[in-house]
Amino acid sequence: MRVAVAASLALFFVVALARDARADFDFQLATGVNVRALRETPALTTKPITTSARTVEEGAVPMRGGMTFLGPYIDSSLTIDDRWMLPLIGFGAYGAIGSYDSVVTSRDGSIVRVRPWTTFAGEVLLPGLGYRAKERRWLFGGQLRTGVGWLTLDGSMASGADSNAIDLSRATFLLAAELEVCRRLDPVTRVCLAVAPRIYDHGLLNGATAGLRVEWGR
Amino acid sequence: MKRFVLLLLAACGSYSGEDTEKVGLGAETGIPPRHGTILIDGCVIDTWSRSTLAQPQTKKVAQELVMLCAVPREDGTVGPRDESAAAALSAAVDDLHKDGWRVNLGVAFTDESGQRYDGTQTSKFLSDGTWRARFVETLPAVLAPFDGVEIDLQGLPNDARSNVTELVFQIGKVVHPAKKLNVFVPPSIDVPSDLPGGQAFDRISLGANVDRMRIMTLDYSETTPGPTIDPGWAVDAVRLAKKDFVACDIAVPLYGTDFGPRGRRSTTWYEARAIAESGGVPIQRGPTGAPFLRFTTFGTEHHELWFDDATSTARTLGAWTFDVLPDDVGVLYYGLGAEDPTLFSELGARMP
Repeated sequence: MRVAVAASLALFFVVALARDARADFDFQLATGVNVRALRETPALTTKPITTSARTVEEGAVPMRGGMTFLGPYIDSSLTIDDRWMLPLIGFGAYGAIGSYDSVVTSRDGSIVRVRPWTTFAGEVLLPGLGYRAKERRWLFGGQLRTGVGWLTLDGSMASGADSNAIDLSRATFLLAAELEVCRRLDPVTRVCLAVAPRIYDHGLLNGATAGLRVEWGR
Repeated sequence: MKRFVLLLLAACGSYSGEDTEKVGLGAETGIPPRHGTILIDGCVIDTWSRSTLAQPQTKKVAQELVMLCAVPREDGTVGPRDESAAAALSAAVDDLHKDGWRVNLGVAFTDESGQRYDGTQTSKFLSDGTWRARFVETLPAVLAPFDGVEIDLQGLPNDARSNVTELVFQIGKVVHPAKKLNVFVPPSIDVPSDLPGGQAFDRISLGANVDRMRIMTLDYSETTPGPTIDPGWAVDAVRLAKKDFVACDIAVPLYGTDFGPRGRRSTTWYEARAIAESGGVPIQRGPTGAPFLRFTTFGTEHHELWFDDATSTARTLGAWTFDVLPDDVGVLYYGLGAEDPTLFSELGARMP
Protein backbone atom coordinates (compact mmCIF):
# COMPACT_ATOMS: atom_id res chain seq x y z
CA MET A 1 0.00 0.00 0.00
CA ARG A 2 2.81 2.42 0.95
CA VAL A 3 4.57 1.64 -2.29
CA ALA A 4 1.40 2.35 -4.26
CA VAL A 5 0.87 5.68 -2.50
CA ALA A 6 4.48 6.67 -3.03
CA ALA A 7 4.33 5.74 -6.68
CA SER A 8 1.10 7.74 -7.13
CA LEU A 9 2.63 10.79 -5.49
CA ALA A 10 5.75 10.50 -7.62
CA LEU A 11 3.62 10.23 -10.75
CA PHE A 12 1.56 13.25 -9.66
CA PHE A 13 4.66 15.41 -9.16
CA VAL A 14 6.16 14.29 -12.42
CA VAL A 15 2.97 15.21 -14.29
CA ALA A 16 2.65 18.48 -12.36
CA LEU A 17 6.26 19.37 -13.13
CA ALA A 18 5.73 18.57 -16.75
CA ARG A 19 2.72 20.90 -16.90
CA ASP A 20 4.45 23.75 -15.07
CA ALA A 21 7.62 23.69 -17.12
CA ARG A 22 6.69 22.02 -20.34
CA ALA A 23 9.60 23.52 -22.20
CA ASP A 24 12.03 21.63 -19.96
CA PHE A 25 10.25 18.50 -18.78
CA ASP A 26 7.47 16.49 -20.25
CA PHE A 27 5.91 13.29 -19.05
CA GLN A 28 5.45 10.56 -21.62
CA LEU A 29 3.22 7.53 -21.43
CA ALA A 30 3.36 4.65 -23.91
CA THR A 31 1.56 1.38 -24.42
CA GLY A 32 1.78 -1.21 -27.13
CA VAL A 33 2.22 -4.81 -28.11
CA ASN A 34 5.63 -6.43 -28.51
CA VAL A 35 6.89 -9.55 -30.09
CA ARG A 36 9.75 -10.77 -27.94
CA ALA A 37 12.31 -13.37 -28.94
CA LEU A 38 14.59 -15.28 -26.63
CA ARG A 39 17.46 -16.85 -28.56
CA GLU A 40 18.31 -19.52 -26.00
CA THR A 41 16.16 -20.47 -23.03
CA PRO A 42 18.24 -20.41 -19.85
CA ALA A 43 18.50 -23.23 -17.32
CA LEU A 44 15.42 -23.09 -15.11
CA THR A 45 15.07 -23.51 -11.39
CA THR A 46 12.77 -26.01 -9.69
CA LYS A 47 11.63 -25.96 -6.11
CA PRO A 48 12.21 -28.99 -3.85
CA ILE A 49 9.86 -31.83 -4.72
CA THR A 50 9.03 -35.20 -3.22
CA THR A 51 7.80 -37.87 -5.61
CA SER A 52 6.94 -41.50 -5.02
CA ALA A 53 10.50 -42.34 -6.08
CA ARG A 54 12.60 -39.76 -4.21
CA THR A 55 13.04 -36.27 -2.83
CA VAL A 56 14.81 -33.81 -5.07
CA GLU A 57 16.26 -30.56 -3.79
CA GLU A 58 15.92 -27.18 -5.46
CA GLY A 59 18.19 -26.87 -8.45
CA ALA A 60 18.73 -26.10 -12.09
CA VAL A 61 17.11 -27.84 -15.04
CA PRO A 62 19.01 -27.50 -18.33
CA MET A 63 16.94 -26.24 -21.26
CA ARG A 64 17.47 -25.82 -24.93
CA GLY A 65 16.00 -23.87 -27.80
CA GLY A 66 14.61 -20.39 -28.10
CA MET A 67 11.13 -19.00 -27.60
CA THR A 68 8.93 -16.28 -29.01
CA PHE A 69 6.41 -14.30 -27.02
CA LEU A 70 3.68 -11.79 -27.64
CA GLY A 71 2.29 -9.43 -25.08
CA PRO A 72 1.27 -5.93 -24.05
CA TYR A 73 3.31 -3.47 -22.09
CA ILE A 74 3.01 -0.02 -20.61
CA ASP A 75 5.87 2.39 -20.11
CA SER A 76 6.59 5.89 -18.84
CA SER A 77 9.38 8.40 -19.28
CA LEU A 78 10.40 12.01 -18.91
CA THR A 79 11.81 14.17 -21.68
CA ILE A 80 14.19 16.99 -20.86
CA ASP A 81 14.62 19.89 -23.23
CA ASP A 82 12.67 17.93 -25.81
CA ARG A 83 15.79 15.86 -26.46
CA TRP A 84 16.93 13.80 -23.55
CA MET A 85 14.78 10.91 -22.50
CA LEU A 86 14.71 9.49 -18.98
CA PRO A 87 12.74 6.27 -19.07
CA LEU A 88 11.08 5.74 -15.70
CA ILE A 89 9.20 2.53 -15.16
CA GLY A 90 7.25 0.08 -17.29
CA PHE A 91 5.63 -3.30 -17.16
CA GLY A 92 5.32 -6.05 -19.74
CA ALA A 93 3.53 -9.40 -19.73
CA TYR A 94 4.15 -11.97 -22.43
CA GLY A 95 2.83 -15.38 -23.37
CA ALA A 96 4.56 -17.91 -25.62
CA ILE A 97 3.39 -18.01 -29.21
CA GLY A 98 3.99 -20.69 -31.80
CA SER A 99 4.34 -24.43 -31.73
CA TYR A 100 6.86 -26.05 -29.41
CA ASP A 101 8.29 -29.48 -28.76
CA SER A 102 8.21 -30.54 -25.16
CA VAL A 103 11.75 -30.40 -23.79
CA VAL A 104 12.93 -33.61 -22.15
CA THR A 105 15.62 -32.75 -19.67
CA SER A 106 16.71 -33.83 -16.21
CA ARG A 107 17.08 -32.71 -12.64
CA ASP A 108 19.54 -34.62 -10.46
CA GLY A 109 19.13 -37.74 -12.58
CA SER A 110 15.33 -37.69 -12.76
CA ILE A 111 13.70 -37.19 -16.12
CA VAL A 112 11.90 -33.86 -16.42
CA ARG A 113 9.58 -32.77 -19.19
CA VAL A 114 9.16 -29.03 -19.71
CA ARG A 115 6.29 -27.49 -21.68
CA PRO A 116 7.60 -24.28 -23.27
CA TRP A 117 4.20 -23.35 -24.69
CA THR A 118 2.99 -22.64 -21.15
CA THR A 119 5.64 -19.95 -20.60
CA PHE A 120 4.69 -16.65 -19.02
CA ALA A 121 7.33 -13.95 -19.19
CA GLY A 122 7.03 -10.83 -17.08
CA GLU A 123 9.27 -7.83 -16.92
CA VAL A 124 9.62 -4.60 -15.02
CA LEU A 125 11.42 -1.92 -16.99
CA LEU A 126 13.58 0.34 -14.86
CA PRO A 127 15.21 3.72 -15.55
CA GLY A 128 17.60 4.30 -18.40
CA LEU A 129 18.81 7.11 -20.62
CA GLY A 130 18.03 8.11 -24.20
CA TYR A 131 18.03 10.80 -26.81
CA ARG A 132 15.50 11.80 -29.42
CA ALA A 133 15.26 14.11 -32.41
CA LYS A 134 12.28 15.46 -34.35
CA GLU A 135 11.94 16.16 -38.03
CA ARG A 136 8.55 17.67 -38.89
CA ARG A 137 6.01 14.95 -37.96
CA TRP A 138 8.67 12.33 -37.40
CA LEU A 139 10.52 11.47 -34.21
CA PHE A 140 13.62 9.32 -33.95
CA GLY A 141 14.88 8.07 -30.65
CA GLY A 142 17.27 5.69 -29.00
CA GLN A 143 17.70 4.66 -25.40
CA LEU A 144 19.48 2.25 -23.10
CA ARG A 145 17.11 0.59 -20.71
CA THR A 146 17.52 -1.55 -17.61
CA GLY A 147 15.02 -3.87 -16.03
CA VAL A 148 14.31 -7.20 -14.47
CA GLY A 149 12.49 -10.10 -16.09
CA TRP A 150 11.35 -13.57 -15.21
CA LEU A 151 10.02 -16.69 -16.85
CA THR A 152 7.66 -19.28 -15.41
CA LEU A 153 6.86 -22.59 -17.09
CA ASP A 154 5.00 -25.79 -16.34
CA GLY A 155 6.69 -29.15 -16.33
CA SER A 156 6.64 -32.59 -14.78
CA MET A 157 9.13 -34.91 -13.13
CA ALA A 158 9.01 -38.65 -13.77
CA SER A 159 8.77 -41.11 -10.90
CA GLY A 160 8.39 -44.57 -12.37
CA ALA A 161 5.10 -44.84 -14.24
CA ASP A 162 3.85 -41.57 -12.70
CA SER A 163 4.83 -37.98 -13.07
CA ASN A 164 4.58 -35.04 -10.70
CA ALA A 165 3.82 -31.48 -11.76
CA ILE A 166 6.63 -29.02 -11.15
CA ASP A 167 6.93 -25.26 -11.54
CA LEU A 168 10.02 -23.90 -13.20
CA SER A 169 11.17 -20.31 -13.19
CA ARG A 170 14.13 -18.06 -13.78
CA ALA A 171 14.72 -14.33 -13.15
CA THR A 172 17.22 -12.09 -14.88
CA PHE A 173 18.59 -8.58 -15.14
CA LEU A 174 17.70 -6.86 -18.40
CA LEU A 175 19.65 -4.38 -20.49
CA ALA A 176 18.18 -3.30 -23.81
CA ALA A 177 19.14 -0.84 -26.55
CA GLU A 178 15.90 0.52 -27.96
CA LEU A 179 15.46 2.34 -31.25
CA GLU A 180 12.17 3.94 -32.24
CA VAL A 181 10.65 5.76 -35.15
CA CYS A 182 7.43 7.64 -34.47
CA ARG A 183 4.92 9.60 -36.51
CA ARG A 184 2.89 12.26 -34.83
CA LEU A 185 -0.86 11.87 -35.13
CA ASP A 186 -1.79 15.00 -33.20
CA PRO A 187 0.15 17.37 -30.91
CA VAL A 188 0.37 14.85 -28.06
CA THR A 189 -0.13 11.46 -29.70
CA ARG A 190 2.38 9.45 -31.71
CA VAL A 191 2.42 5.98 -33.17
CA CYS A 192 5.81 4.33 -33.03
CA LEU A 193 7.70 1.35 -34.33
CA ALA A 194 10.25 0.20 -31.76
CA VAL A 195 13.01 -2.38 -31.96
CA ALA A 196 15.06 -3.30 -28.91
CA PRO A 197 17.92 -5.78 -29.11
CA ARG A 198 18.52 -7.19 -25.66
CA ILE A 199 22.12 -6.64 -24.66
CA TYR A 200 21.48 -8.88 -21.67
CA ASP A 201 18.42 -11.06 -21.23
CA HIS A 202 19.21 -14.34 -19.42
CA GLY A 203 22.53 -14.08 -21.26
CA LEU A 204 24.50 -11.76 -23.53
CA LEU A 205 22.77 -10.77 -26.79
CA ASN A 206 20.08 -13.29 -26.08
CA GLY A 207 17.03 -11.74 -27.64
CA ALA A 208 15.12 -8.73 -28.88
CA THR A 209 11.71 -7.11 -28.86
CA ALA A 210 9.89 -5.40 -31.67
CA GLY A 211 6.48 -3.82 -31.70
CA LEU A 212 4.09 -1.02 -32.31
CA ARG A 213 3.12 1.41 -29.64
CA VAL A 214 1.22 4.59 -29.04
CA GLU A 215 2.88 7.40 -27.09
CA TRP A 216 1.26 10.33 -25.38
CA GLY A 217 3.27 13.40 -24.52
CA ARG A 218 4.99 16.23 -26.35
CA MET B 1 -13.86 -7.84 -30.53
CA LYS B 2 -13.02 -10.44 -33.12
CA ARG B 3 -9.52 -8.97 -33.50
CA PHE B 4 -9.03 -9.08 -29.75
CA VAL B 5 -9.97 -12.75 -29.61
CA LEU B 6 -7.63 -13.51 -32.51
CA LEU B 7 -4.83 -11.72 -30.68
CA LEU B 8 -5.45 -13.76 -27.56
CA LEU B 9 -5.44 -16.98 -29.54
CA ALA B 10 -2.21 -15.99 -31.24
CA ALA B 11 -0.57 -15.53 -27.87
CA CYS B 12 -1.20 -19.15 -26.98
CA GLY B 13 1.77 -21.43 -27.58
CA SER B 14 0.96 -24.97 -28.54
CA TYR B 15 2.51 -28.42 -28.36
CA SER B 16 4.02 -29.68 -31.58
CA GLY B 17 3.58 -33.30 -30.55
CA GLU B 18 7.33 -33.88 -30.60
CA ASP B 19 10.03 -34.10 -27.95
CA THR B 20 13.21 -32.08 -27.95
CA GLU B 21 15.77 -34.02 -26.01
CA LYS B 22 18.15 -32.25 -23.71
CA VAL B 23 19.26 -35.50 -22.17
CA GLY B 24 19.56 -38.87 -23.72
CA LEU B 25 18.01 -38.67 -27.13
CA GLY B 26 19.06 -35.82 -29.32
CA ALA B 27 21.91 -36.93 -31.51
CA GLU B 28 23.71 -33.73 -30.63
CA THR B 29 23.54 -34.48 -26.89
CA GLY B 30 26.47 -36.49 -25.64
CA ILE B 31 26.26 -39.38 -23.20
CA PRO B 32 28.84 -39.35 -20.42
CA PRO B 33 31.31 -42.15 -21.09
CA ARG B 34 31.58 -44.64 -18.22
CA HIS B 35 33.21 -48.00 -17.68
CA GLY B 36 30.72 -50.48 -19.10
CA THR B 37 29.98 -54.10 -18.27
CA ILE B 38 27.51 -56.31 -20.11
CA LEU B 39 25.83 -59.18 -18.30
CA ILE B 40 24.92 -62.36 -20.14
CA ASP B 41 22.37 -64.37 -18.20
CA GLY B 42 23.71 -67.87 -18.87
CA CYS B 43 26.73 -69.94 -19.88
CA VAL B 44 26.22 -69.59 -23.62
CA ILE B 45 26.70 -66.58 -25.85
CA ASP B 46 24.59 -67.24 -28.91
CA THR B 47 25.67 -66.18 -32.36
CA TRP B 48 23.43 -63.11 -32.33
CA SER B 49 24.95 -61.82 -29.11
CA ARG B 50 28.43 -62.73 -30.34
CA SER B 51 27.82 -60.47 -33.34
CA THR B 52 26.69 -57.69 -31.01
CA LEU B 53 29.86 -58.04 -28.96
CA ALA B 54 32.01 -57.95 -32.09
CA GLN B 55 30.76 -54.50 -33.08
CA PRO B 56 33.25 -51.66 -32.50
CA GLN B 57 30.51 -49.45 -31.01
CA THR B 58 29.67 -52.14 -28.45
CA LYS B 59 33.32 -52.24 -27.39
CA LYS B 60 33.25 -48.47 -27.09
CA VAL B 61 30.32 -48.68 -24.66
CA ALA B 62 31.55 -51.65 -22.61
CA GLN B 63 34.86 -53.32 -21.89
CA GLU B 64 33.87 -56.14 -19.57
CA LEU B 65 31.47 -59.09 -19.61
CA VAL B 66 29.79 -61.07 -16.87
CA MET B 67 28.56 -64.55 -17.71
CA LEU B 68 26.01 -65.36 -15.01
CA CYS B 69 26.62 -69.04 -15.38
CA ALA B 70 27.89 -70.80 -12.28
CA VAL B 71 25.56 -72.21 -9.63
CA PRO B 72 26.49 -73.88 -6.33
CA ARG B 73 24.97 -77.28 -5.73
CA GLU B 74 23.38 -78.50 -2.53
CA ASP B 75 26.74 -79.50 -1.04
CA GLY B 76 28.40 -76.22 -2.00
CA THR B 77 30.20 -77.50 -5.09
CA VAL B 78 30.28 -74.81 -7.74
CA GLY B 79 29.16 -76.00 -11.19
CA PRO B 80 29.21 -76.48 -14.06
CA ARG B 81 31.86 -79.16 -13.47
CA ASP B 82 31.52 -81.67 -16.30
CA GLU B 83 34.37 -81.67 -18.81
CA SER B 84 32.24 -80.75 -21.77
CA ALA B 85 30.79 -77.66 -20.11
CA ALA B 86 34.17 -76.61 -18.75
CA ALA B 87 35.80 -76.96 -22.17
CA ALA B 88 33.03 -75.01 -23.89
CA LEU B 89 33.19 -72.25 -21.30
CA SER B 90 36.95 -72.04 -21.53
CA ALA B 91 36.81 -71.84 -25.32
CA ALA B 92 34.16 -69.12 -25.17
CA VAL B 93 36.17 -67.07 -22.70
CA ASP B 94 39.36 -67.49 -24.76
CA ASP B 95 37.50 -66.30 -27.81
CA LEU B 96 36.25 -63.23 -25.95
CA HIS B 97 39.70 -62.50 -24.58
CA LYS B 98 41.08 -62.50 -28.13
CA ASP B 99 38.38 -59.98 -28.97
CA GLY B 100 39.62 -57.68 -26.20
CA TRP B 101 37.01 -58.39 -23.52
CA ARG B 102 37.60 -58.97 -19.84
CA VAL B 103 35.29 -61.77 -18.78
CA ASN B 104 34.02 -62.45 -15.27
CA LEU B 105 32.15 -65.47 -14.02
CA GLY B 106 28.83 -64.73 -12.35
CA VAL B 107 27.67 -67.08 -9.62
CA ALA B 108 23.88 -67.19 -9.35
CA PHE B 109 22.51 -68.71 -6.19
CA THR B 110 19.41 -70.08 -7.86
CA ASP B 111 17.84 -73.38 -6.91
CA GLU B 112 18.27 -76.43 -9.12
CA SER B 113 15.60 -75.19 -11.50
CA GLY B 114 18.10 -72.49 -12.43
CA GLN B 115 15.31 -69.92 -12.45
CA ARG B 116 14.34 -69.17 -8.87
CA TYR B 117 16.25 -67.50 -6.07
CA ASP B 118 15.10 -69.18 -2.85
CA GLY B 119 16.62 -66.87 -0.29
CA THR B 120 15.69 -69.01 2.68
CA GLN B 121 17.38 -72.04 1.16
CA THR B 122 20.46 -70.03 0.20
CA SER B 123 20.61 -68.54 3.69
CA LYS B 124 20.59 -72.03 5.15
CA PHE B 125 23.50 -73.00 2.91
CA LEU B 126 25.48 -69.89 3.83
CA SER B 127 25.11 -70.57 7.53
CA ASP B 128 26.78 -73.95 7.10
CA GLY B 129 30.56 -73.68 7.45
CA THR B 130 31.10 -76.96 5.59
CA TRP B 131 29.00 -75.73 2.70
CA ARG B 132 30.97 -72.47 2.53
CA ALA B 133 34.27 -74.34 2.63
CA ARG B 134 33.18 -76.59 -0.23
CA PHE B 135 32.09 -73.55 -2.24
CA VAL B 136 35.42 -71.82 -1.77
CA GLU B 137 37.35 -75.03 -2.47
CA THR B 138 35.56 -75.77 -5.77
CA LEU B 139 35.20 -72.24 -7.14
CA PRO B 140 38.78 -71.86 -8.51
CA ALA B 141 38.43 -74.73 -10.98
CA VAL B 142 35.38 -73.16 -12.62
CA LEU B 143 36.88 -69.71 -12.37
CA ALA B 144 40.17 -70.64 -14.06
CA PRO B 145 39.59 -69.16 -17.53
CA PHE B 146 37.89 -66.02 -16.19
CA ASP B 147 39.29 -62.70 -15.01
CA GLY B 148 37.11 -62.43 -11.94
CA VAL B 149 34.03 -63.61 -10.13
CA GLU B 150 30.72 -61.87 -9.44
CA ILE B 151 28.48 -63.00 -6.58
CA ASP B 152 24.74 -62.66 -7.20
CA LEU B 153 22.83 -63.35 -3.99
CA GLN B 154 19.14 -62.45 -4.03
CA GLY B 155 16.09 -62.75 -1.83
CA LEU B 156 18.06 -63.38 1.37
CA PRO B 157 16.57 -62.75 4.80
CA ASN B 158 18.15 -59.91 6.78
CA ASP B 159 19.67 -62.32 9.29
CA ALA B 160 21.96 -63.75 6.61
CA ARG B 161 24.12 -60.63 7.01
CA SER B 162 27.09 -62.13 8.85
CA ASN B 163 27.11 -65.26 6.68
CA VAL B 164 27.14 -63.23 3.47
CA THR B 165 30.07 -61.21 4.77
CA GLU B 166 31.90 -64.38 5.82
CA LEU B 167 31.37 -66.09 2.43
CA VAL B 168 32.62 -63.05 0.54
CA PHE B 169 35.62 -62.82 2.88
CA GLN B 170 36.52 -66.45 2.22
CA ILE B 171 36.04 -66.08 -1.55
CA GLY B 172 38.29 -63.04 -1.47
CA LYS B 173 41.05 -65.09 0.12
CA VAL B 174 41.14 -67.59 -2.77
CA VAL B 175 40.45 -65.13 -5.58
CA HIS B 176 42.70 -62.20 -4.76
CA PRO B 177 45.04 -60.89 -5.99
CA ALA B 178 45.05 -62.82 -9.28
CA LYS B 179 41.40 -62.18 -10.06
CA LYS B 180 38.70 -59.67 -9.23
CA LEU B 181 35.81 -60.19 -6.84
CA ASN B 182 32.61 -58.19 -7.30
CA VAL B 183 29.21 -58.49 -5.63
CA PHE B 184 25.68 -57.62 -6.71
CA VAL B 185 24.04 -55.45 -4.06
CA PRO B 186 20.33 -54.57 -3.65
CA PRO B 187 19.44 -50.96 -4.53
CA SER B 188 18.57 -49.69 -1.06
CA ILE B 189 17.87 -45.98 -0.78
CA ASP B 190 17.60 -45.82 2.99
CA VAL B 191 19.30 -47.00 6.18
CA PRO B 192 18.17 -49.46 7.41
CA SER B 193 17.38 -50.81 3.99
CA ASP B 194 13.94 -50.15 2.53
CA LEU B 195 14.12 -53.47 0.66
CA PRO B 196 13.26 -56.94 1.91
CA GLY B 197 16.59 -58.59 2.66
CA GLY B 198 18.52 -55.40 2.03
CA GLN B 199 20.10 -55.64 5.48
CA ALA B 200 21.71 -58.94 4.51
CA PHE B 201 24.40 -56.87 2.80
CA ASP B 202 26.81 -55.08 5.11
CA ARG B 203 28.37 -52.84 2.50
CA ILE B 204 31.13 -51.54 4.74
CA SER B 205 32.31 -55.04 5.73
CA LEU B 206 31.88 -56.37 2.20
CA GLY B 207 33.85 -53.42 0.89
CA ALA B 208 36.96 -54.65 2.64
CA ASN B 209 36.97 -57.77 0.48
CA VAL B 210 35.54 -56.82 -2.93
CA ASP B 211 36.79 -54.83 -5.88
CA ARG B 212 33.43 -53.52 -7.07
CA MET B 213 29.80 -53.46 -6.06
CA ARG B 214 27.17 -53.69 -8.74
CA ILE B 215 24.14 -51.82 -7.41
CA MET B 216 21.23 -53.67 -8.98
CA THR B 217 19.04 -50.72 -9.86
CA LEU B 218 16.59 -52.92 -11.74
CA ASP B 219 12.99 -54.08 -11.35
CA TYR B 220 11.84 -50.72 -9.98
CA SER B 221 8.25 -51.71 -10.75
CA GLU B 222 7.55 -55.02 -9.10
CA THR B 223 3.91 -55.18 -8.06
CA THR B 224 2.32 -52.73 -10.47
CA PRO B 225 3.17 -52.20 -14.13
CA GLY B 226 5.86 -49.63 -14.75
CA PRO B 227 9.37 -49.07 -16.03
CA THR B 228 12.20 -51.44 -15.09
CA ILE B 229 14.28 -48.51 -13.89
CA ASP B 230 13.62 -45.00 -12.64
CA PRO B 231 16.79 -43.01 -13.36
CA GLY B 232 16.43 -40.74 -10.30
CA TRP B 233 15.79 -43.61 -7.91
CA ALA B 234 18.83 -45.42 -9.30
CA VAL B 235 20.97 -42.34 -8.58
CA ASP B 236 19.84 -42.32 -4.94
CA ALA B 237 20.65 -46.03 -4.57
CA VAL B 238 24.19 -45.58 -5.92
CA ARG B 239 24.80 -42.46 -3.84
CA LEU B 240 23.86 -44.31 -0.68
CA ALA B 241 26.08 -47.26 -1.56
CA LYS B 242 29.01 -44.97 -2.36
CA LYS B 243 28.90 -43.61 1.18
CA ASP B 244 30.02 -47.08 2.30
CA PHE B 245 32.16 -48.13 -0.65
CA VAL B 246 33.57 -46.04 -3.47
CA ALA B 247 33.74 -48.44 -6.44
CA CYS B 248 30.12 -48.86 -7.48
CA ASP B 249 28.33 -49.58 -10.74
CA ILE B 250 24.78 -48.66 -11.63
CA ALA B 251 22.67 -51.20 -13.53
CA VAL B 252 20.47 -50.57 -16.55
CA PRO B 253 18.08 -53.17 -17.96
CA LEU B 254 18.27 -54.49 -21.48
CA TYR B 255 15.16 -56.61 -20.92
CA GLY B 256 11.51 -55.76 -20.45
CA THR B 257 8.78 -57.01 -18.14
CA ASP B 258 5.33 -58.22 -19.08
CA PHE B 259 2.82 -57.67 -16.26
CA GLY B 260 -0.12 -60.03 -16.67
CA PRO B 261 -2.84 -61.58 -14.50
CA ARG B 262 -0.58 -64.54 -13.68
CA GLY B 263 2.36 -62.39 -12.62
CA ARG B 264 5.48 -61.00 -14.25
CA ARG B 265 7.82 -62.40 -16.84
CA SER B 266 10.88 -61.07 -18.58
CA THR B 267 10.65 -60.20 -22.25
CA THR B 268 12.88 -58.95 -25.02
CA TRP B 269 12.77 -55.89 -27.22
CA TYR B 270 11.96 -58.11 -30.21
CA GLU B 271 9.02 -59.74 -28.44
CA ALA B 272 7.62 -56.36 -27.44
CA ARG B 273 7.91 -55.09 -30.98
CA ALA B 274 6.40 -58.30 -32.37
CA ILE B 275 3.37 -58.00 -30.09
CA ALA B 276 2.94 -54.39 -31.11
CA GLU B 277 3.31 -55.12 -34.82
CA SER B 278 1.25 -58.28 -35.03
CA GLY B 279 -1.52 -57.04 -32.77
CA GLY B 280 -1.61 -53.50 -34.07
CA VAL B 281 -0.94 -52.29 -30.52
CA PRO B 282 0.39 -48.74 -30.25
CA ILE B 283 3.65 -48.28 -28.36
CA GLN B 284 3.42 -45.47 -25.84
CA ARG B 285 6.12 -43.90 -23.69
CA GLY B 286 5.97 -43.48 -19.94
CA PRO B 287 7.22 -40.46 -18.00
CA THR B 288 10.79 -41.77 -17.87
CA GLY B 289 10.75 -42.44 -21.61
CA ALA B 290 10.42 -46.23 -21.30
CA PRO B 291 8.11 -47.63 -23.98
CA PHE B 292 5.12 -49.74 -23.02
CA LEU B 293 2.10 -51.36 -24.56
CA ARG B 294 -1.23 -52.55 -23.27
CA PHE B 295 -2.81 -55.54 -24.93
CA THR B 296 -5.26 -58.37 -24.39
CA THR B 297 -4.36 -61.95 -25.21
CA PHE B 298 -5.76 -65.43 -24.67
CA GLY B 299 -9.22 -63.96 -24.83
CA THR B 300 -9.45 -61.85 -21.71
CA GLU B 301 -5.94 -61.59 -20.24
CA HIS B 302 -4.94 -57.96 -19.97
CA HIS B 303 -1.22 -57.31 -20.13
CA GLU B 304 0.99 -54.28 -19.74
CA LEU B 305 4.45 -54.73 -21.12
CA TRP B 306 7.22 -52.26 -20.26
CA PHE B 307 10.59 -52.45 -21.94
CA ASP B 308 13.54 -50.31 -22.90
CA ASP B 309 14.93 -49.35 -26.24
CA ALA B 310 17.83 -47.27 -27.50
CA THR B 311 15.78 -44.13 -26.93
CA SER B 312 14.89 -44.74 -23.30
CA THR B 313 18.28 -46.18 -22.34
CA ALA B 314 20.10 -43.27 -23.93
CA ARG B 315 17.80 -40.89 -22.07
CA THR B 316 18.59 -42.62 -18.78
CA LEU B 317 22.34 -42.59 -19.37
CA GLY B 318 22.18 -38.98 -20.52
CA ALA B 319 20.50 -37.95 -17.28
CA TRP B 320 23.45 -39.32 -15.31
CA THR B 321 25.82 -36.48 -16.01
CA PHE B 322 29.07 -36.39 -14.06
CA ASP B 323 27.69 -33.79 -11.65
CA VAL B 324 24.92 -36.27 -10.78
CA LEU B 325 27.04 -39.43 -10.66
CA PRO B 326 30.84 -39.13 -10.62
CA ASP B 327 32.79 -40.60 -13.49
CA ASP B 328 34.04 -43.55 -11.43
CA VAL B 329 30.53 -45.01 -11.42
CA GLY B 330 30.36 -47.69 -14.11
CA VAL B 331 27.31 -49.07 -15.88
CA LEU B 332 26.19 -52.70 -15.84
CA TYR B 333 24.00 -53.49 -18.86
CA TYR B 334 21.87 -56.40 -17.70
CA GLY B 335 20.62 -59.08 -20.07
CA LEU B 336 22.49 -59.22 -23.38
CA GLY B 337 20.28 -60.61 -26.11
CA ALA B 338 17.11 -58.89 -24.95
CA GLU B 339 18.18 -55.43 -26.08
CA ASP B 340 17.16 -53.15 -28.91
CA PRO B 341 19.58 -54.18 -31.69
CA THR B 342 20.48 -50.56 -32.37
CA LEU B 343 21.26 -49.85 -28.70
CA PHE B 344 25.03 -50.13 -28.60
CA SER B 345 25.58 -48.47 -31.95
CA GLU B 346 23.46 -45.50 -30.83
CA LEU B 347 25.12 -45.26 -27.44
CA GLY B 348 28.58 -45.60 -28.94
CA ALA B 349 27.89 -42.88 -31.47
CA ARG B 350 26.92 -40.52 -28.68
CA MET B 351 29.94 -41.18 -26.48
CA PRO B 352 33.14 -39.23 -27.06
